[in-house]
Amino acid sequence: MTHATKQRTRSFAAMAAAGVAATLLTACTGQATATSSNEAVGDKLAPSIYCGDTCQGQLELKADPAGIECKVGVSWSSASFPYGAKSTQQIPEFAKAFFPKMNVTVSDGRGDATNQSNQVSEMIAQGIKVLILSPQDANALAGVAKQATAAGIKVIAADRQVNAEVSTYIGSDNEEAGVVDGKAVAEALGGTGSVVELSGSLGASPTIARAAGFRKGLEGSKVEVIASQTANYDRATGLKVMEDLLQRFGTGKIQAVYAHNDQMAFGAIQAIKEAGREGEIKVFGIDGEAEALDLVKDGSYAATVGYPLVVKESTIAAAKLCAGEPVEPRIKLDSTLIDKTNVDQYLGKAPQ
Amino acid sequence: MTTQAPTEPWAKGLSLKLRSNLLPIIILLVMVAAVALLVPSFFQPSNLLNVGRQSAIVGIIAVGMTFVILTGGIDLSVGSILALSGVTTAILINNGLIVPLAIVAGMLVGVVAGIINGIGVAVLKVQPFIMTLATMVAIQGLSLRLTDGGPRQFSNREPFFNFIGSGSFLGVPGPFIVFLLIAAAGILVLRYLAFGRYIYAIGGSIEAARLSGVRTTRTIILAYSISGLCAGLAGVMTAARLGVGDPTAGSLSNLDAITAVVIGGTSLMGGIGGAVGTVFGAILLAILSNVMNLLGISPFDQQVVKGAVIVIAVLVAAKATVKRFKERRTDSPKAATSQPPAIPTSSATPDSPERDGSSPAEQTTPR
Repeated sequence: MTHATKQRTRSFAAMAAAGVAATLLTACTGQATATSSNEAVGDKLAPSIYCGDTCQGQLELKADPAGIECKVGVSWSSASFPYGAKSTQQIPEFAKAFFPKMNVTVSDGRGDATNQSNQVSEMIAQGIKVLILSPQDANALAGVAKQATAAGIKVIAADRQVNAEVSTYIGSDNEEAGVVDGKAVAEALGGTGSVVELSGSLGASPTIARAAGFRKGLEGSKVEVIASQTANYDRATGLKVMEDLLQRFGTGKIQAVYAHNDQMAFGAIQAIKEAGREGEIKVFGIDGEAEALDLVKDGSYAATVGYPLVVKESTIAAAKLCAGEPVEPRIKLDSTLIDKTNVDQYLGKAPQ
Repeated sequence: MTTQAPTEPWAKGLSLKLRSNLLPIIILLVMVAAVALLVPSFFQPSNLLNVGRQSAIVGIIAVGMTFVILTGGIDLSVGSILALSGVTTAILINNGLIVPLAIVAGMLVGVVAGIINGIGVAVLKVQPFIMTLATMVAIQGLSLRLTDGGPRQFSNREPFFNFIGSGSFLGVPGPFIVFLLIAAAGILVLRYLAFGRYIYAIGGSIEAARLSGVRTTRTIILAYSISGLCAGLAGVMTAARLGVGDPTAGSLSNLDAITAVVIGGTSLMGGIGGAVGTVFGAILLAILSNVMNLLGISPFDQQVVKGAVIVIAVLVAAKATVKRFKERRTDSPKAATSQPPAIPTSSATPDSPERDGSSPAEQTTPR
């Protein structure tokens, strides 16, 4: 009896300790959740620098931002990876800062298409006027996208296209990013050499497009992809797989690495450094995170291709649709090659 | 291996011990021999060091996981704990906390998460699968929240931090040394401490363990805390290795760790197995993926091969387990009465800690 009570007290003590620890943790990192770099022109939200002249023109908002009053739903495939996490966090932040009367609800599909389509159905029922949709799967989400359109909702496909008629599709192009990297590798190697590829999660559409684009970019050169292994878009895995590849291909057998994202490229750079082969292997990647630009600047990362967030562009497009302004069916952001020659102009304005 | 059951008690005890401890080692040796024929470059010192380093993170998590699985539970949250602990360490270092304290804090995060898992399982009686699934999701959310979804870089590098991340001692990678230390601790605790024996007892039958005086609640909470601590340590080490706290790190390490434990011969039903097998299971997994990369096997086929190897390893281990279980049943005093030539003492010898025959639960419950 007393024994049981004692044990219970201890459990509660443990639980209390857990609570305190969690609170402490949140408390001392709370300030880290600062608002992102707002590039406001006056009090107007401007698109990012990766939105070229055409793109800028397409996103000219004529209405008064303060007067835009409508319900916007944001449905992202998953918020458990950096791109999705940043997008679902920043869209409501920008909306709040620049369109005070815009009411934004966000949902996270948690990587499951069924889940995501249920969430979209709920949003439709709640009476949203604009839907910003980044589908888990282009076909699986087509049904609800059509339902939304039928209910008079304007749909914006953000980052990924959905297989239905939508008001606009905003995003850059994965295949084009691969092409840009392919050309850059061919040029850096003087048209001939061997490259190993660290590919993203197998079967994912960005992985397929980034692989295909790269090979297109290499066409016409004698650069050969001598090995391709997946590292699941993950830094630690990239490091591990690169260690193995360096083992398999001895000194002088690899001239370049093409990684489908920055994170895997960071892992590869570390493995190459630890093997003391940084002089002979150049690393190329895609995404353009802030850390990537620092590494490009210091020379350990040959180049990255920007795959920009579309948060500002999506927010502006939503505002335009709310105001009843027409929006072009395709708004494309640039795939910018960022290497040592131009990195200075992008520092502090990283694509992701 | 002996197919005929030995008649002498000591011989029986020995063969049981050999089989339970050596099976994974034998599998490993056979595999390494096959590898030697296929890819000589595997045996280059630099590659062996790679494999050692690559086995460390999953290995450390798996040693902790062994405690939980031996109780008949499972811990799906270790990957998320790894990420949260790395993120915590990174953020604290960035905020100016001295590195040793940041390391401790990272590990403490793991312990706290483990305690929560343990309370959920032992006190609130939530099924381990569901409890740790829930914390897995919640903790991942917390990591993403703390980092705004992106990896957190930090630059402060201290010798010890470097050592557990990417350093080495006398040529042996630091992470691998830490792994071996943790493994040794795990083996000793499970084998020689009363707490270790309680773990087996609970896995055999929680009710019986409770009735025979084992403080089951406390033991289970401790088991999950150990799993959390190991995952936390793995998180700190991953952060030290990469120089970032990555909120999405280790997303598949729960499955890898469970695989290592099961390949190592520990039963998911609990009560049978041990940390020795787990160590070899983890090393075996690392060798497997390293060799496939050295051979240049396509990533699609790698998954197929990995799956096949897991099934084969588990089948071999399961067969041995069933055999051991049967022999134990025959050894038990109750079974002995139905069989005239009884050997009643062999099940009571506590010299074979890798099986649960000597647990207090076994001795007090009538079957």
